[in-house]
Amino acid sequence: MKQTGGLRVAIAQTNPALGDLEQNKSKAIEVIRKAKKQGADLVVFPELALTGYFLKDLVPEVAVEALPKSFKELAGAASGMDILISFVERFHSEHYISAAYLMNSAAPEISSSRLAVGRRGSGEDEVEPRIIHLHRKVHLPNYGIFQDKRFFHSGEAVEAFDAPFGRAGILICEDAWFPTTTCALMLKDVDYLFILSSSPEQNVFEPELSNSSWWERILRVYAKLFGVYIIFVNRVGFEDGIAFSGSSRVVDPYGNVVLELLAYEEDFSVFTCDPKAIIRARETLPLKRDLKPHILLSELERRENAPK
Amino acid sequence: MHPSSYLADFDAEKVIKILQLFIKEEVTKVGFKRVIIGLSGGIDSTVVAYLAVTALGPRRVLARILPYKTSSPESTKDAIEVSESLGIPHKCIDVTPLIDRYISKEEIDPKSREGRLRVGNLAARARMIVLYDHSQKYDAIVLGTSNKSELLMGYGTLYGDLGYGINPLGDLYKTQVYVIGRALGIADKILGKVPTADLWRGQTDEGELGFTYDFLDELLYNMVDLRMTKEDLIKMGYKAQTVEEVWERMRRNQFKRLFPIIPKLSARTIGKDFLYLRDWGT
Repeated sequence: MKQTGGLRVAIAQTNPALGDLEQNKSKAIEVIRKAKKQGADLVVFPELALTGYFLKDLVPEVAVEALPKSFKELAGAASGMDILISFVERFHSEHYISAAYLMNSAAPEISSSRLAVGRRGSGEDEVEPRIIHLHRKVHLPNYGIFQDKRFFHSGEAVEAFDAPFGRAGILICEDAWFPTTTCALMLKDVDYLFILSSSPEQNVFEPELSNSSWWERILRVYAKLFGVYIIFVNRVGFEDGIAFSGSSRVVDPYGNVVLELLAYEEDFSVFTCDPKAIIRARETLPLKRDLKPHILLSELERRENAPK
Repeated sequence: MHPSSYLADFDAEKVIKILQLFIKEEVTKVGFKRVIIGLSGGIDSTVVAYLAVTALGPRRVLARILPYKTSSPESTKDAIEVSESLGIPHKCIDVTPLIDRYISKEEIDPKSREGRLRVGNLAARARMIVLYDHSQKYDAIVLGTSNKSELLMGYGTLYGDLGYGINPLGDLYKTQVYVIGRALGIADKILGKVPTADLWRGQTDEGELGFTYDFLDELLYNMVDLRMTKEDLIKMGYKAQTVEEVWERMRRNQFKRLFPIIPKLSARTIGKDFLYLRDWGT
């Protein structure tokens, strides 16, 4: 992991094949190699990039455990680069929509004697891959065209983690439509928020109401209100005639969209974040500093103690 | 949003883009090389042909012009013209011989109302036969041409023109199809035609439905997209009888829009709890 400059993140806006783990792994490996070639520190994939989205009865058939061995081919191709990958997780016989931060690089401040033995290959920072953070989708949409709740167990928490480049958090699609959940995560002092999505286009006839316009609004508002980088990765392609809208974006801590990928089509781009932008944005607008969580706590306590 | 804006004032380029990507993905991901379309010379099939050509290129779009002996010769001419201007491989196959012997053996009288309907449906199904036969021969997926207005009103022949592999216009009201047609640069001659299934001479959609598409589409938009109740619609100014008629017609034709019902006996029944998308594995 390079310490000069900020996080160099590759955005993999892919079109997964529904229910075909092998094909999706191969596709992912191609993109991973491309990202590595372009000097990325991390490559980020959309929600359920390994499986496709409208799985229904396919859920148990494509589930894997959240262990490094489930992603060994991906880690192998990454040779030292980190991967943020989303998949169907089986945990204690339940299924989750999950995302794992697969660290293949050496943690910079740990001395070399403490690190696991390097794998085959020549990269000086190649080590045993390990999952340093796992997020399970908390909010499962179950209305309109969505039936997540029918097929998946919901996650129970949002947690931040220390990535090599800074403190990060992960949300999956619907999670980010809840200011409550997003705020809870931001309170954990996140600097980089990754939002992984399989967001479909619904209502092309009223662009103001389209998913894509609303995502842009939400991302810009959160980025500005919390002074964070947001890396939003959304898939493309069709399932059941439903078009996933793509338009993955990086939004800077000022709320500016600094990178936007294609709508509806596969795309790939690399962006280098500037950690100083986070500091400068918060100096200008210290909303995160001035947040008063105890107001929320008072309300929650009132609800807990109210007569039922 | 006001219905006429919704129906007319939308981003046609975006819709066209999505439909092109849809056609391209649906065809190739299931392993077909081409698409095949029954071209009638009317607006719907012409729009589908244009979309397919811009998505796949002219060599991969096959047109079949399939008149019955009562079909309007102008329509046949128009369909051929469309094929030639798009540069797509096309064949004109008269479907009359496929059904006329059957019609005379069954003693169907095409001059009677019932007979006319039977012959119309037979012709529509004969077209389906040719399209599916050629689909097999040329490794081409059959593209439907039924729009949302027709589907909601059940204005189509089961296993006839309602027999297809994918249907790009299925979420566009007729009014919206015209907007797409204009954006695609389709000739005014086609755009200006009176919509007709052409199953018998003088047949028109609007004559049969009892409303113009302008009127019907606005009503359907309120009823279906906005989910307004019958009471709301009457308050809006629609006649109670009209609302009732259109609602009933929509309800009565649900069977044309779904897979036939299978009675449940086992623990896992097709269509109920055997749940995989049609895109399964692609």
